Amino acid sequence: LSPSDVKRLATALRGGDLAWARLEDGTAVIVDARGQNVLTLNETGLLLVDALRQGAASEEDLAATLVRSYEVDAATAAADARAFLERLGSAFAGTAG
Amino acid sequence: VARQIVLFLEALRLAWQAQAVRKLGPAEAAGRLAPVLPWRDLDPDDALRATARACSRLGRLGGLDSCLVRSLVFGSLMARAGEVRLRVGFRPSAAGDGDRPDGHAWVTIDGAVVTPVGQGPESGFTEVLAVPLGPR
Repeated sequence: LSPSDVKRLATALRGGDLAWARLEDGTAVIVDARGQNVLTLNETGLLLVDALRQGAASEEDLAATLVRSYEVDAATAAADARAFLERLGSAFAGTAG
Repeated sequence: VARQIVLFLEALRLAWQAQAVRKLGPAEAAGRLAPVLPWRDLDPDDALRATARACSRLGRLGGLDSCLVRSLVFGSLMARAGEVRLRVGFRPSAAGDGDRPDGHAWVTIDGAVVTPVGQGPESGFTEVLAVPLGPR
């Protein structure tokens, strides 16, 4: 995703265009405001969503979050952050930010 | 009896309109639902019965009969009863780890759940989305 796409998704998460909730088992779901697209997140995905809501604005920021939170090397964290953003962007391509 | 028939036909018309939820999602579909008659002082039980009958009938003819469609229809019928909201929630899949969570829709009026017991948040669904239903 381009930096502007990441920024758009982060803004959508902060502004409510993307609603999310943590479920009882620790996983979470994100739904767009129209209720049309739903994405399921595991605990790592939820961590990254939290990071986006709190100001992370790039793939590098998210990778740094993963390195801080889990014992992963930078390359693995970067790949995971990229995969997460691609999944998020694919699910909510048309969501306004 | 005449009122029940008119209510059923209205529910059937709304259920037909609510089929748009498949393409539009609940928020946009809700915006397109408009009861023709001003159903004031409508008994929620009558509205639930009419909704169930209409959606079931439409389902047998190949239409979508789901909690979401039923909630859209029922909420639209009750739109003048107060602050009516369509609620959409999820809970972990009963099928096992890693599966897509179970989704559910229900209706609240002035904050109180009015769909039948066992089909709302008390069943472990966490609300994710709330859509206003009613006069716009």
